[in-house]
Amino acid sequence: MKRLAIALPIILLLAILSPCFSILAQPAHTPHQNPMAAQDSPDLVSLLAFYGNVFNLAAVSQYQDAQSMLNELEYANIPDELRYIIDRFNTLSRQLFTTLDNLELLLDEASASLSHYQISDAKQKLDAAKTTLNSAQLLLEDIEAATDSLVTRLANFIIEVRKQTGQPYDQMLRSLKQLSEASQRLEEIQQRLRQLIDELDQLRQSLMQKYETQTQAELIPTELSLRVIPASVFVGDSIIASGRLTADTSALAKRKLSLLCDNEPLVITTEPDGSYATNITIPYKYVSTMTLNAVYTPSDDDIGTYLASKSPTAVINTSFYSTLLEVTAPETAHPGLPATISGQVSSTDGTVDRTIKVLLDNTQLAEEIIQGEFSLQIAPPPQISTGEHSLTLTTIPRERYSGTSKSLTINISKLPIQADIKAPQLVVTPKVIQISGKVYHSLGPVEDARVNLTFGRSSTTVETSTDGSFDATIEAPLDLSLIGPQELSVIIEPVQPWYTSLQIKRGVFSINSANIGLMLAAFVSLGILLYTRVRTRAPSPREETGIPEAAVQELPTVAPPSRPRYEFTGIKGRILSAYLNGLAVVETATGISMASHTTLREFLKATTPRLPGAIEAFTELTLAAEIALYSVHKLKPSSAARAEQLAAAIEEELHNEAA
Amino acid sequence: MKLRRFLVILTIALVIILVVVVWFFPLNEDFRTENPFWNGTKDISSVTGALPLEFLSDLPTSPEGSTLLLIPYLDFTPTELDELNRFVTQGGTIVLADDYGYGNQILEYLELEVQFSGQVLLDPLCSYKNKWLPRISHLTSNSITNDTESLILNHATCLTNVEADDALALSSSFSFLDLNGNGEWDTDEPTGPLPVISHHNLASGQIVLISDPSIFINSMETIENNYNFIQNITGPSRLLIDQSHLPPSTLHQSKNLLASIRGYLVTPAGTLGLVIVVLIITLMPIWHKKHREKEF
Repeated sequence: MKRLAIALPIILLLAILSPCFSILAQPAHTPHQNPMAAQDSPDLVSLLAFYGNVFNLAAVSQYQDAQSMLNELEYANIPDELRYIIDRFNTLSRQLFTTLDNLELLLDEASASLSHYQISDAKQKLDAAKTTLNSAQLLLEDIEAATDSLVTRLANFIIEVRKQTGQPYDQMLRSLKQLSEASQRLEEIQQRLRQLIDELDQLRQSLMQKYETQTQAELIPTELSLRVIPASVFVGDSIIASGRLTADTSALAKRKLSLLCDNEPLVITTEPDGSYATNITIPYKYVSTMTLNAVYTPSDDDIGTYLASKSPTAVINTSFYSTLLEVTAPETAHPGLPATISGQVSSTDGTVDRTIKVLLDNTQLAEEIIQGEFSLQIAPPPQISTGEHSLTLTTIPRERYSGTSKSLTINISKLPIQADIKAPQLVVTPKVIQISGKVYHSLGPVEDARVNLTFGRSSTTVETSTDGSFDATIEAPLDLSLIGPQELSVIIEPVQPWYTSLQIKRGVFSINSANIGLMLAAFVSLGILLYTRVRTRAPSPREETGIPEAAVQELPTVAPPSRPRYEFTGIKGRILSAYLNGLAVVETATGISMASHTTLREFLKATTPRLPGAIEAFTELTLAAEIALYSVHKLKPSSAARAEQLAAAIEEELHNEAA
Repeated sequence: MKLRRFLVILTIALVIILVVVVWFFPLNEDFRTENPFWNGTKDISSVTGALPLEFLSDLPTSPEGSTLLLIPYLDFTPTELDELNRFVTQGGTIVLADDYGYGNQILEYLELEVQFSGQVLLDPLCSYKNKWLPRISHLTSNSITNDTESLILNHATCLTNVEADDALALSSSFSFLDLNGNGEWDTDEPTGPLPVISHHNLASGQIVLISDPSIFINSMETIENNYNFIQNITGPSRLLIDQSHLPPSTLHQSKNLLASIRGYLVTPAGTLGLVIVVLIITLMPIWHKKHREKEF
């Protein structure tokens, strides 16, 4: 008992602590929360801090980065009621960044024009910069006003959230304080942005002064002419560009000029008479016209003497041979299975070699040199996902022949396979089952496919042969089942990537002979047990007490069964010997035999109705025998003598009755 | 006598009830493929026809065309690391999804520079509902990120030492690593964009690192474009989900024990033993009776 008292608390303690062992093995941080039950708590203070970072970037002229960062707000967790004002704030911010970017660009260009004494260009740029600067100042004022409005709305939202969620008052105060601090920081950053605009304005003013200085100085204007021969050429051909640089009708010799053909610069030097002439190769750009300009920029001693000049724009008509591409491709292709793509590349001269590229979703599948009609075999990558993909054919430009491309939508799918499975309808387990079959498709037999067969807990894998057939044996194992349908599962996995896998399930009626035998044995033994019990069942108490003496039927006298003889010694032996003597007489008189499983008292009850004269004596004798058999008390010799008397009395009484 | 019989019957009844409850009560452990609740992975395993692996030794001998999803919440033995190395170098794909587990043990064994940070990645602004659920919108064009505009992670971490070309997804520029665990950004804490998904080639195989395994749980896979991403990872290959490195619960251990017992009972020896026991119990009263008779 004491041991049990100690063991039980220990077991209970271990049971309570056992979940902790698995917890100890888990990671230190929470791995996740239920997103459906997660509390929606947008961090609005962070929003202002985010704007601070965005304006910080703008304040150091990183306008593109600031715009990119602003674009991230598309994915921000913003409540619907604040979405409009934040979207407007973002739009204003984007406009400001674009305006500032343009302003810096204009000022840079104006500065470059001034340094090249292109004062008319510089004037245009500076005027545009002034307009842009005014826009930037207005936008910044709008943003500052919008910031105040945004902060007020955010503060109201924080208060509203507290009312709705019952958030602690301290937490709301802390949020409002953080909002106020973030607002102050944002204002400071916006102040830096204003400083930037002021600096740009100062730069514009200084450039304006430089411009005025240049206009006040009496610089000699220059003139630059340009003539192109021929005016129409094929791409790749040459033209002659010529002209003359003059200043107040006098020629400017040995001056460097820039010829810009489609903005590609070519530097040449003027002759002693100020003229120039050069060959220019027209680049392979497949457009109908190109432009050519000559530009003179004063350098060295010319600075402060001459003004820059630019020739009139010469337009060159360019020609090239167009390429037409016709493509025929199957609507559906399969991973790894070659498909034929045919078509025609039409050039003016059909005999020319053309390079054609085939791309599937930007992955190059083939590159071939063809003439006119073509037929290409392409195989989609084995790992490609099924569904719609883009197939693009590109003809590479070649000299006078332009390039072209054509895109088609192609559906990638896998081919379904079929299989004939031959399996027995009925199996008697345990036994080896023979299964055969053939795997095929309309393209032909599916070879080398992996066929996995599962029956109950047994499984086996085989491969199909070149004709797609397979033979497999699978052992039907012993299990707890007796009789009934079992599932035979066949999974076929082809090695060819263009085929799909196939799973077939068949019902096989299984008879488990071993289990049926064992169960029969169990039932038979159970049956024997039940039969024995029913046969030897004693009469119910109601039957024993309810039958009147008159209703007793005479039963045929039967001889008592022979009993083993025992050697009885001592007092106990004498009592039991007396009981057996009495018992023999009673059995003979009543015709009821004492069965092996009948107790002494049950026998007494069964015979009582038929012993009217000897009932008291037999009852006392039965009691004495029970005491002798089961009592722990020491037996007295008088008890033995009394038992022998009772046995004799029963014998005498029953003899008299019989007589 | 009566009390003893009552206790025996009560004990047997309790054992039967417990066995039935343990057998039929669904698992609720994180990432288990049998778990149908919000934190399980039953949905993806059933949709993709994934095969749960209870031992890494069950990895296929020819790994080409197979993808192994690994959530390493328990450490690895040298044999297991060898198995993984063989799997990936022979053409298999490992998707190593980890946040605070033992992913770095594998990366070190495979001699990769990249590491899981192990610190919590928070995004107070670009998030789904709250900062613990960062929204990932910087995705590099790749077959894995096809048709995926944004992803939602759940209590994620980030990757470190990732080459720019290997990174497939970055957190927003407002995200940060919460090194001191106070839930707020502090000046010494790294800010975004931080890599959260990367891709590395190893011999003829490849390894995809995801800094949050929770993207695969039932409640996360349907949010935003997470499902497309998971589909892309699986692709046409056969998906295997490792279950051997998830911490087992008492319920799981009990289920395993019952499964082992059932497994033994359906063997020929087990079935025979069971029938013998049933016979002995059935015939016991007859034997007792005869024994008593002999005594008498």
